[in-house]
Amino acid sequence: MADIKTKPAGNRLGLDIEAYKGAASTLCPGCGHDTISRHIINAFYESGVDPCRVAKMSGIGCSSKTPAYFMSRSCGLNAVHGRMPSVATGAKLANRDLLVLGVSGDGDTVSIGMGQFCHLIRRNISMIYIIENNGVYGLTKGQFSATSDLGSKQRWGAVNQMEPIDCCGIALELGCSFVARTFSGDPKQAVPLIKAAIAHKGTCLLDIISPCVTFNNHEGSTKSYASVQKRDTPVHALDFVPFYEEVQVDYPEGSVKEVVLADGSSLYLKKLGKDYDPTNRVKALQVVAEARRAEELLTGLLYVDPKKKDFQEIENIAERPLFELAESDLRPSRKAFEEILERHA
Amino acid sequence: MIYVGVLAELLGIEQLAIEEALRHQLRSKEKAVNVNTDAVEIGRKYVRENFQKRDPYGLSRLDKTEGKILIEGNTASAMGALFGGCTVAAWYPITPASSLSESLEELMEQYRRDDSGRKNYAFVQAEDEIAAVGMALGAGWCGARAMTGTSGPGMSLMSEFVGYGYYAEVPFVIFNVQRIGPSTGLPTRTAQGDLLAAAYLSHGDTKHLLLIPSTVEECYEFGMLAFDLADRFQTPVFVLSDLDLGMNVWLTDRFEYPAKPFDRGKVLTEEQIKRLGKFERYRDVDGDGICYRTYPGNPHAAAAYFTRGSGHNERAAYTEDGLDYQRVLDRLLVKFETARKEMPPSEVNLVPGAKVGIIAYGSSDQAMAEARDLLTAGGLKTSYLKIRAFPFAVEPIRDFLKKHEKVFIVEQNRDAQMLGILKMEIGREAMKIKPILHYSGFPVPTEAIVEGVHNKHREAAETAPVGMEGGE
Repeated sequence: MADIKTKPAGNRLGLDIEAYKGAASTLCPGCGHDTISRHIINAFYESGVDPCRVAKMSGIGCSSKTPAYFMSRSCGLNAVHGRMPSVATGAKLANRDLLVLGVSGDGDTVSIGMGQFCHLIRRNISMIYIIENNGVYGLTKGQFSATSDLGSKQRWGAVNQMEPIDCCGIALELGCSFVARTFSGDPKQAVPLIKAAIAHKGTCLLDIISPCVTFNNHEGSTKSYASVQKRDTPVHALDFVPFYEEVQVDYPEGSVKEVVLADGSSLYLKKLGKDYDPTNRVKALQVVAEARRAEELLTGLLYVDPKKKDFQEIENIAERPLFELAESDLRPSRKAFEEILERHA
Repeated sequence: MIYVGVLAELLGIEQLAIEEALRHQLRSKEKAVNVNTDAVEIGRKYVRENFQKRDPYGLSRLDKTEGKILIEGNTASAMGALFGGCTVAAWYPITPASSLSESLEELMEQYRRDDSGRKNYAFVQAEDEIAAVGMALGAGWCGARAMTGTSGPGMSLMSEFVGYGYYAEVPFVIFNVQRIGPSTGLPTRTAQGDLLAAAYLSHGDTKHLLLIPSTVEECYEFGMLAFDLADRFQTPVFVLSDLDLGMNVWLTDRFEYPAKPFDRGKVLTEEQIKRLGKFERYRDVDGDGICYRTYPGNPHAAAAYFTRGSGHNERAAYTEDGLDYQRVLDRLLVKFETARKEMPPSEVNLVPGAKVGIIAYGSSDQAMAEARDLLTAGGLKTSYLKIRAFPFAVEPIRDFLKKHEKVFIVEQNRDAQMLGILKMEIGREAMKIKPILHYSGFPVPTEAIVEGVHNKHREAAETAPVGMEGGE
């Protein structure tokens, strides 16, 4: 086990956990989203990320309200419905030093926002993209979303007749460099995954199943607490060791796979039952599809490619954040000006 | 190439000019240049041996273009964006705006790199116009100078984000190179039909700053100025050109190297917040409607704020309170009025003794000089007022209306869109303006203006009350 030392008050920046909290939530008591906010607070606090350099991005929906409920010292932008990825892309391009954390929902992501979601992944923009997935439109009172499972029952008895869109399946297909699924009620899995996402370079997708207590927590719903708990099938257990901590591991031979992330942190994946290799994308697609057919909810780090180039690397964009560039950097010289005009003389 | 030779011989085009053009076109590939030069000679020889020139037409070098440049409006706008400090550009291909973004990328590739040759810019071909403007908005929010380039259908798609930019006060620049609408319209034809849509784009009470270039030189100047205005007023700014200006090559005086430094607007640094002791994103401290902002990533613990398109108060906190909402909306109006004073003023050319005034804007200006010359030659002196922006200062236009018995407005759209705006902005006095409208998709020809003035003038004279003099 990784040796977690007892730390003095505050994290490595000397910040108290209070510095990572936000305003009081206005969501329904018991909402999975509020639990996810707590996981985010804990992960960012424990990772010692300076909240001032985090940009919290969201779209529209219950999920998208949550950035107000964590990390008040971080700037936030609650965009228009389904379009958070483009705004997050622009923000990251303007200031690559920002740690961009997007929070979205299933409607915001795979219905109205499907196009932008796919293209964000295609570009591999470095950011964390959390889907607070409850299979239902909560803010507008209970309509099915596109992630509702086949046969899942609405609160008033209607049964979903259409195939669900699997957020992780799509992300895998698109070559997303970090694909994970977890359950809001499983902090032991969710928090290390968020920390690993902080350490990763490229687009990190975290599909977090987050039951809606008001509209989708009844008998017959496949996104209720009871159903998720019953079907949750972790592919491994997780230990996250940040780059700034000394690694002291003592795992039995062959029981653990180590993934070294972009910033030097490590994620230890401990075997549970069957072997699972999160670096094999084709296999991951197959396993995810098979689990869906078996009505299992496969959770854990489904796929990771720590070496994949992100957009700024592909494009050879300078290290210095673009927003910092001054007029002297940006306005070409008089000589350049004359040179351009000469082409049109 | 033989055809080129035939034509060159018939029109008397000097061989040097042909060879220069070949070298330019073939990127100085010697072998290709030689083969083509030989082909040109075959054509020339054929003409010399078989034709006798009878027409008077020919081409020769003139010095009238000495010191001038030939440039497309889209390239000129791209130059404006380059010298205006744009670092993030996102776009989706669309006629007739594509060449604007493509020119900008070309310029940036060459002139916007750091010492190690890495890009000091980000250029993204987005998945659609919604994403393109979203990226510009995200970058503008973070303090980069950001733009997108599009035409009518793209602008329609952008409307939700533009309304967001207005309400949440995020700067970015949209170049709309207009083509004829509605809907897909005629993608390869010109118009001024997006004026009203741009001015009030998006639902709710919105209005935006528009720069309306009428020459390629203004495409360059406004292309640059747009970034200053966006930063100064923390709002989306449109540069509204059109296909005629954007995609045609125009002869013009050489542009001026920018004299004014960037205006980055009201942005607080960490030190400034320390000194002030607090920061409220939407508080009108100076009374001009423009608030202070911080860039995300500012290390001061009080620098962060939450940007949202939903109701917010002065502290950027969510609110459903009607009065909080109204205060922000009223303050946006104060900001709009501040902007009115700083937008490029209308240009007025008052002709002594003229009883007729003509108003035009954008590319219609190109036909105005000749049209007015013809009208003067026909005995009708005219004054001219060119609108260059929205919002515009109202007094000079009121003054112009007072000074002329008859006033016409030339527009390249069906609904007299600028006249509609004038009526809203000026009121009753604008009712005397008669529209001359041209919307065939081709640039407004001089004759349309001359005939329009004559016809409307006659109509007006016929219906005028007894005792009121005509203009002629």
